[in-house]
Amino acid sequence: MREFLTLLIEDDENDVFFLEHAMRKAGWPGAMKVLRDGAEGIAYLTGAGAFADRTEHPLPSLIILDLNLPVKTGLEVLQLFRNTEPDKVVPVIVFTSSTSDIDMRDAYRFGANCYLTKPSHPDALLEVVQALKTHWIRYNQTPTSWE
Amino acid sequence: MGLSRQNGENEFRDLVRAGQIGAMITLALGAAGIAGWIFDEPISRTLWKGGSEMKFNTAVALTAMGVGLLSAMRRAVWAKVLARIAAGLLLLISVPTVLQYVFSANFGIDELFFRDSNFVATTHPGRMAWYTASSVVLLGTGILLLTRKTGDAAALTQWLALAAGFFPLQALIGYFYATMAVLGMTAQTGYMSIPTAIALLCGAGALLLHAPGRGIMAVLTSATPGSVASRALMIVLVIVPLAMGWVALSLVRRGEHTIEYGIATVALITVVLLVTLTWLNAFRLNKAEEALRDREEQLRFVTDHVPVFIVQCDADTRYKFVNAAYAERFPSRAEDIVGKKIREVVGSRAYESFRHHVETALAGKRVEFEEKIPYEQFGERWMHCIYVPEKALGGEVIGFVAVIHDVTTRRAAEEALRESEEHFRSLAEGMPHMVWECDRFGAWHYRNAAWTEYSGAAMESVPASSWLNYYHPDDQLLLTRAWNETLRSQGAIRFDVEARMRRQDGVYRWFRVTAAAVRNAAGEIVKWAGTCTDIDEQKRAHEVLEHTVKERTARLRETVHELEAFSYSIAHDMRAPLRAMQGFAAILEQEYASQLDGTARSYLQRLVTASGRMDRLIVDILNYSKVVRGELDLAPVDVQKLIGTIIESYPNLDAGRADIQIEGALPLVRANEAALTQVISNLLGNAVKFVAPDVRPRVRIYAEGMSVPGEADMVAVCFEDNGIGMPRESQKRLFNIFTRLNRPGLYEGSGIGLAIVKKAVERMGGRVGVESEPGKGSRFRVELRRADGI
Repeated sequence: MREFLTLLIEDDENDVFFLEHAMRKAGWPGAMKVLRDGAEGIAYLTGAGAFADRTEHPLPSLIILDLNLPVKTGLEVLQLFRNTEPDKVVPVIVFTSSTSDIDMRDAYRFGANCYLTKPSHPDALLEVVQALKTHWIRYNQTPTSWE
Repeated sequence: MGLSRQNGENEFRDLVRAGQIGAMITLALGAAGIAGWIFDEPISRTLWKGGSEMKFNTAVALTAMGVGLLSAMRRAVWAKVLARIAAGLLLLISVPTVLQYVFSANFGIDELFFRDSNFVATTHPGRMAWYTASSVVLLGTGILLLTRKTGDAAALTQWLALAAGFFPLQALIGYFYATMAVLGMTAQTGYMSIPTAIALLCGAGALLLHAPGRGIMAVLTSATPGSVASRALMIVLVIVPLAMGWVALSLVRRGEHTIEYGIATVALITVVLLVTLTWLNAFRLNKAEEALRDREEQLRFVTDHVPVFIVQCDADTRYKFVNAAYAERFPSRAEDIVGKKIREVVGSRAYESFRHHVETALAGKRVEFEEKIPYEQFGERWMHCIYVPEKALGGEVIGFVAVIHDVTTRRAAEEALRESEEHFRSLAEGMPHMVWECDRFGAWHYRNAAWTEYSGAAMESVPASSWLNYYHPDDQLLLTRAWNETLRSQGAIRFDVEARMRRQDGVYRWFRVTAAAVRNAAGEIVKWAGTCTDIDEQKRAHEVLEHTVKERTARLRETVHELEAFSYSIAHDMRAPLRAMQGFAAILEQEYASQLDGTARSYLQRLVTASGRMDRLIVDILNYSKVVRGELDLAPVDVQKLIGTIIESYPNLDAGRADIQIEGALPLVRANEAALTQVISNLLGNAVKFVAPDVRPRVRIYAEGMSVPGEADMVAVCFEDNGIGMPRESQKRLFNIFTRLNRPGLYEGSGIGLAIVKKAVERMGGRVGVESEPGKGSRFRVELRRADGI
C-alpha cells in the first residue's frame, strides 16, 4: 500500500508551522509535502515542469489548500486542477482565514470537498486537525491510485 | 271659448244635420211642386185638397233653394259655384216679383211657363205671394253670403234666416188659427200656400243652422248659463202661447165663452207663465253668478300666488285686472291700479320702451320679449313679457293679457357668468401655456391661442376627436389609458401625464398634460378643462441630471466597494500575524511554562488576553463589514425556530447558564436568515453578558403588534432582560459603532455588536429601539415586516 501523502499549499510559514505542530501532536500519518505558492501548486498537481516525474512527485492522498496565495490564488489552483485533471478527484480541503460567502461558494463550485477557517488558538487548531484526521484518514476511503 | 269654436263642427254635428234635413225637405217640396205643375197634379202643389196652390215660380225657387243650401254646406269648389248659381236663380225670380208688388207692375214673369187657370183669392194669377217673394229674397241673399270666400258673415246670414223665417211662420199660424186676414194676407199680397210655408220654414231653419256655434246662434248653443236658460225658455215660449191662443179661440168659436173671457184667460195664463219663467231665469242666473264669483275668486287666488305678474288691459291700455304681485310692485293696491292707464302706473319712460309691443298686441298679434325696462320707481329691470291679444266674439281686439316675469337676477347671473367666462377666456388666450376644454364625453371644443400657435392648426380645422394625433405615437397609448381612466373614475383619478406633442415644424417637445373636471352645483361634470405645460427643458435637464447622477453613483459605489474591499482585506490580513502571536504565545504558555518565572508568565498571559481581544475585534469588524456590504436577499424567516437554533448552538445561551423564555407565538418575518441570526445572537449575547455579578440572566422574548396606524404589516420582536440596564442619555449612542458603555475588564466587548444589529435590521427594512433604566434591565425591540400575510 502506498504511503499516505498530504500536500499542503500554504504561503504563510507561521501557519505551516502551527499546522505541522498540531498534526504532529495529533499523530497525522504519512508524508507531508509543502508548496509555497499557487503556481507551484498547479505545476505539481498537473505534473508540469520540475514535477513531471510522478514516481518522484506522486499525486497526494489529500490536499490542504490556502486561498490567499501568491502568484496564483488558491481558487485558481483548485479550478485549474479540477478542469485539467477531471479524473483525478483528490479530496481538497480549503483551509483559509476568509469567511467570505463568495469565497465559500466559489470554492465548492470549483470542486472543494471541505471548507475550514483557520482557528486562532492552537488548541482550536488541534481540535480541527484531530477531526480532519478522524474523518479523512480514519474513516474516509480513497482509491489506491487516481490514474 | 276658443276651444269650443275650434271643435264647433263636430260639437254641433246634430244641428248641422238637422239643417241638412231642412234643406232636403225644401228641395223635396219644391220638386213636388214642379212635378205637380208639369203633370198637372194639383195635390202635389197643395199637399191636401182645398189648400192654396204653390205657384210654379215658387216651386222653381224652392227647388233652387234646396240645391243652393245643400251645396253651400259643402266645402268643394264646385259646390260653392253651384250654390252661387242657385242663389242667383232665387234672386232672379224673387227680386222682380217684389218689384212688381212695390211698383204695382206686371213684368209678365208670373205665368212665363204655365198659365194659372184655377187661381183662387189672388188678383195676380200665377204670381208668387208677396211674403214668399220677400222670404226668398232674404234666403237667396243669405245663401250668397255663405259662399263668400273670406270673412265671417255668420251673424248676418243668421239674421237674414230669422227674418226670412218670420213670413212662413206667420202664414202657418194663420192657417193654424184659420185666419189669414188677421196676419195681413189679402188677395193683393197673395196667400202663401202651406207646402211653400213649410218649405221656406225648413229653408230658413237650414240657413240658421249652417253655423250653430257662431254668430247669434252661439248665444243659444254655447254652454254658458244664459244659453242653457234661453234654450229651455225658447221651446216653452213658442209652444205655450200658440197652444193657449188655439184653445181660447176654439172655446170662443164654439160659443161656449165670450171673446173677453178667452182673452182674459190667455192674459192670465201668460202672466203666470211669464212670472214663473222670469223667476226661474233669475234663479238660474243667480246660481250662475255665484259660480262665476267662485271661479273668479279661485282665479284671483291662483293669480295672486303665482310668482309672475299677470295683467289684463283693455284696448285703451287701461288696466282691467292686475294680480297681487303686480300691485305690490308699484306699490299699490290692485283696485287702485285697475282703471288707470299703463303709462300712469309704470311711468312714461318705461311705457315708451315697450309701447310698440303693446301696440303689436292690440293689433292682434301675440308678443314675447325680454328687455331692460327703465322704471321710475325701482330703476332698470330685465323683464320677460308675453302679451296675448284678447278678442271679442266678433274677432275684434278688446285688449290683451300680459304675463310678466322679472328676470333681472337671472340676467345678472348670466351677465356675471359671461363676464367671468370672458375674463377667463382672455386670461387663457394670453397665457403661454396651452389651455383647452372638452365636453363631458371628451369632445374638444376650445383651444387657446398658445395651442393654435404651437400646433399650427386653426381651431376650426381640427376635428373634436383628433387631439391624440398631436402627440407622439409612443405616448398615445399612455394618454388614452390615462384619459379613459379619468373619464371612468369621473375625475377621481387625476389626469396628469407627461407626453411629447408635435410642433408645427414636426419637432416633438415634452409637455405636462393635465385636466380637471368642471362641475355644476349638483356636482355633475359639465366639462373638462385642461392645460399643456411645456416641460421640455426641465425634462431634458432632468435626463442629463439623471444620467450624471447615475454615473456618479456608479463611480461612488465603485469607490466605496474598493474602500470596503480594502478595509476588509486589511482586517483580514491583520488576522494572520495576530494568529501567529496568539499561536506562539499559546505554545510558549503550554510547552515552555516550566522555563518561565512568574513575571514572564503574567506578561505572557497579558499577551494572550490582548491578542484574544484583538481577534474578537477583527472578527466583529469583519461581520459588520459583511452586513454593510453583502447583498441581503429577503425571504420569510420563522423567528421562533431561528431562536431555538441559536440557543442550541451558543454555549453561553444554554439553559444551564441562562433562562431564556419565548412567550406566545413568534411570527414569520421578511428577513435575511444569516443577518437575522447575527442580530438575535448579538442581542441574546448582550442580554446574558450584561448582568450584575451573581445574577442568573433571564430573557423574555415575545412579539408585539404595531400601534402606529399604517404600519399594520410590521411586527416587533422584543427581548427583555434582567441586566444592568443603562441611563437614558446613553441609549442614543448605544447603536453607534465602537460604543462601549462599560469599563473594560468588567464586561468585555468590541462595541460593534449593536452597530451590527442596527445596520442589519435597517438593511432588512426594519427598525431597532431600546428602553432601559439602570438596574432595571433593558428591552430591545426589533421591528420587521411580517411575512405571514397578517
